[in-house]
Amino acid sequence: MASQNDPDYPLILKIKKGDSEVFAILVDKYKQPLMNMLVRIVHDPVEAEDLAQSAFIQAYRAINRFNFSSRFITWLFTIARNLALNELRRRSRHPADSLEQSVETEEKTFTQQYEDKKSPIPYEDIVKSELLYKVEEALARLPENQRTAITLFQQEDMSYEEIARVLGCSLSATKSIIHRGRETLKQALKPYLKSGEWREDSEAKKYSDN
Amino acid sequence: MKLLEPVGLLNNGTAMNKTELNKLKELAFKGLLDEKSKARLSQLLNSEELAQIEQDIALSKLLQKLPSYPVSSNFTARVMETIQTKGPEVVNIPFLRLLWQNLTGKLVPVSLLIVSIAIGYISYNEARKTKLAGSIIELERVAMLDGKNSGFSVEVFKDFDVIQKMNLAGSSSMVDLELLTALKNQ
Repeated sequence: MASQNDPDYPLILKIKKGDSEVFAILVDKYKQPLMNMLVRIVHDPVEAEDLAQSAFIQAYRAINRFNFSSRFITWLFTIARNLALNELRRRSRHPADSLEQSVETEEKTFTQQYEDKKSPIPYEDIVKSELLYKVEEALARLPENQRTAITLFQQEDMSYEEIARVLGCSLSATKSIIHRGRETLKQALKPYLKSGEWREDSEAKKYSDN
Repeated sequence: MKLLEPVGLLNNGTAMNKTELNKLKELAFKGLLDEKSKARLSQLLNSEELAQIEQDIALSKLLQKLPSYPVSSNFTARVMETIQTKGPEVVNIPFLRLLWQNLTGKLVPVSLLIVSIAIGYISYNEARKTKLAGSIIELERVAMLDGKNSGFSVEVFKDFDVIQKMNLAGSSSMVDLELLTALKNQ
């Protein structure tokens, strides 16, 4: 049973009993990994943040239907990915519309009530290293399922089984998706991987952290 | 790198533990290989495969170093505000499931009642059929009366109507009262 392995099990039980304040702990815990996945799907930090917010709200509203058949994070990421894919489909049908136009008016008022102390920064400003920028570029060129699977596998430390649940495909298909994605990335970044530049970058980061 | 392909023999000729190799490769992909695991991998793989693994480790390290996208500082507050306004969804149970859930508690007494009614109806039908069969046998016996085998004759029933009327007259309390009144007057 997944509930025994889920560190969020006691929190979710409290939320189900009506303690909504506990949900803030889950939001704080998962907003960053969720944002990382969503930005790589929609390629827009502002839209990704709106989608992350919608994903948390949907998860909370449907919490009584969550039956611990998977970890909470897997369920949350599945909701978020489905929202992002719907947004991409909507965007392809109506290229001129932005997500903000579809957000309900009442939700707009909530966003206006708080001062945004840290607005999304352009990604170019975040990625200081040129090599990491190349990696991000190569990742962005992958098909969405490969990109998402690699992000979840590499950054969120999810198991193949959990990634399979998020992607909605079989375990063997998931392994194959990750393998193909990694092969494509290795081909695209071959000169950098062979040159050992990534090591220098790693060392440089160590010094900058200290 | 051949993650999903079946693994054959080790470069040193011993049978390879496919599961162990896949586990080590997965650790390499996640950048979690320690020195001991690296040594084990170098035992299991040839130089070309090791070079591939090196590239995989490099790729994993780079992917792990990708910076996180910043989230607005008011993100949690916004989510919580919306949540407290809307509240969790009440789970709508489909009509048939609701009906089934309600019936489950009453199912035993209802089914007992239905079985009792069914048994009663069947018993009543059986009894009726037995009675009918008895009447048919009686009729058959009467129809078979020919005066030779049974000693009875159809002639016996010649005055049946008259005798029945006399019996009816004899049983009437009105007639008895009239008779008693007449006797008293005498």
